[in-house]
Amino acid sequence: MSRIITYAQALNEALAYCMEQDDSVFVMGEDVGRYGGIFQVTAGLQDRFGVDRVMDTPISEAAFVGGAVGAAMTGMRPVVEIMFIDFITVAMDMVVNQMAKMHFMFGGRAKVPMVIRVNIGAGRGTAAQHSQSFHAIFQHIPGIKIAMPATPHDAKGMLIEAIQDDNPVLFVEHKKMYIDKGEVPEEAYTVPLGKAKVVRPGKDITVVATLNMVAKALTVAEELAAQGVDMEVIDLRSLCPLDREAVLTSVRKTGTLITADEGCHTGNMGAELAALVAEQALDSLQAPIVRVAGPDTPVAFSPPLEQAFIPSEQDLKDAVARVLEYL
Amino acid sequence: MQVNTKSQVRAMPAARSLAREKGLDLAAISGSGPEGCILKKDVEAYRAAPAAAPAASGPAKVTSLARKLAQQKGVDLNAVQGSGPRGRVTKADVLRAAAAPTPAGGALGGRKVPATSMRKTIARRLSASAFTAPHIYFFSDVKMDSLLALYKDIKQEILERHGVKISVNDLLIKAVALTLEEFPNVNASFDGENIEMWEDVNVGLAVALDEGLIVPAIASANIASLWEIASQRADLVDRARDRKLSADEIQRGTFTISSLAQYEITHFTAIINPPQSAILSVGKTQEKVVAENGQVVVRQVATLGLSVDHRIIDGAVAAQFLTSLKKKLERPALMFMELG
Repeated sequence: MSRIITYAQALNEALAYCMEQDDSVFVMGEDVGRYGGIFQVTAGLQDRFGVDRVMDTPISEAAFVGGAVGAAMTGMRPVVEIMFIDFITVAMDMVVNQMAKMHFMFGGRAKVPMVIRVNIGAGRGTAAQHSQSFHAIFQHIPGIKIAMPATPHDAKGMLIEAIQDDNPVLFVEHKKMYIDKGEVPEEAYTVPLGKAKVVRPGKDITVVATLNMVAKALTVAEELAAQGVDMEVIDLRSLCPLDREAVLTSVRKTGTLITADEGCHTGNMGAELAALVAEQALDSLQAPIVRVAGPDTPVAFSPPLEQAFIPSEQDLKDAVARVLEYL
Repeated sequence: MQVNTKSQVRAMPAARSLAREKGLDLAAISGSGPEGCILKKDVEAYRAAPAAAPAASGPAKVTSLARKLAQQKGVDLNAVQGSGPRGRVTKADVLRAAAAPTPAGGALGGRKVPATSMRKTIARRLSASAFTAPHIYFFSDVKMDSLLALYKDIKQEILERHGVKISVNDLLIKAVALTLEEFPNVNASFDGENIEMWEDVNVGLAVALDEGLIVPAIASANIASLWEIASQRADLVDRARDRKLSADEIQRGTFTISSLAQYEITHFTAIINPPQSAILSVGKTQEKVVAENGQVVVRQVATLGLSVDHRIIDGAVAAQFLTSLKKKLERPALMFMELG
């Protein structure tokens, strides 16, 4: 049965379910235990599963991510929380050279079934070192699955799927979405990684979005539908595996592509999709590809500047207007 | 053979792809996108009504009476605001536009009409030719009596045998093609670095349309028989008028003939059609008094002009080419009996 809960509660349910089902699942990170996690995703888990399975760590990402890689290789299923994606840079060797490589270097005889939960996004006044959205960096590292659930429903289903997956998964959340509410079934279920979802079918313009850009795209789509513009909105849901077919199918239908992701413009998820379309569906393009993205700057602390950074519904409308000039 | 397939027309990939698939020449299509970019819908509109070929962004609807009136009065329908249902341009709108002083004119108050994409393409290509290829010009008077006699002699028989009506032009095309075989340097292209001597001899024929010149080419005219040339020529000219030529039919030309023989023009100079290196201009055939073996006689005379790209064709070669062509035309038996 479904009820309305928040994105954070949906993640909490997924963690609790997996820990109940499988003793090898444990949670580790800064303030995840007694405090329940900075965004309360792990609230109550330490009381329920004990300090051995919900561990508070020192401020030492390289150490605990590295520890998780070792634990995963020796039979555990760690779920590591990194408080902000910004801090994963401290553990890049563990992520890039160890976690992503071990399965390959041991010729498939070692598995690294672990999940690193991170959050991206500006909008909480946390300035340049706690607001970044550089998740696309990891698209460039073979060996890491990248999940980006855009709804509480997908948050629960994809986290269960990620924990049960034998590959390392970077689980990318958005810090402004933890309080978003949506229908989530009480029972356990999985949502596959690597499968995009057409959340609004349309025939005129394809918008491929991630995380909270999906909801913004849907709002814009409804508004423009009144003006006779039929937008198709695709929730990409994973950066790796990348659901190329879903994107290409839609672009071949509409002849257009707008991407929407909060990452900085240069080298963001939209760049990869633009390249994909240029390589495999160029002849379908009726209009230039437009990327709605953050600007190529750090996120400012100043609230007006921070708001200016965040890709908005107006930015999406401007992108649609540009594409419409060609249709 | 591919000649200059790299189009310089601005078009969206989907428009380009559709035009290629349907064998349409983008240069003939007006673009309605930003900066005149050709959109997919422009290609679709062109396919639906090639003769009208308006930009798809033009007035959505025009009554047929208004369209006719606009044509008579030289009113640009794109600039007329429609007052009918759903913005339809009506007769009254056209009359108002014709009466009103045109607002967007230059200092002298003229009427400004945006150039079509085809006109811009012609402008760009011919300027490029005129300013990069140094042209030199050669003229020769050709006595056409024997050729005309041959034409009269064989036309009925070819019509009966092949169902094709030949013209004097077809004989000229054949003679030009055979001459090009003898002068590979003239059937060639120069890109600034290399001279490409084409294997095929495809003779282009300039066809004047209302919106500009288009040059479909008769394929392999050097080996095609006369009736084949005539049938290709008739088909290409018809389809040029219907705007139904494929890109290849326009781009495959290796030499161009531009004829103004139906006008009162004795001779003229022509600009080379790039990437080709030479073009033949043909004036009217008319009776002239000429001296022949000490006698004054009246002959049918046409003045042929040859423009060549002096970068790769020297004057002597051009003179030899024109002389050889003249010989074939004046003594056509030599050409068709391969007597040299």
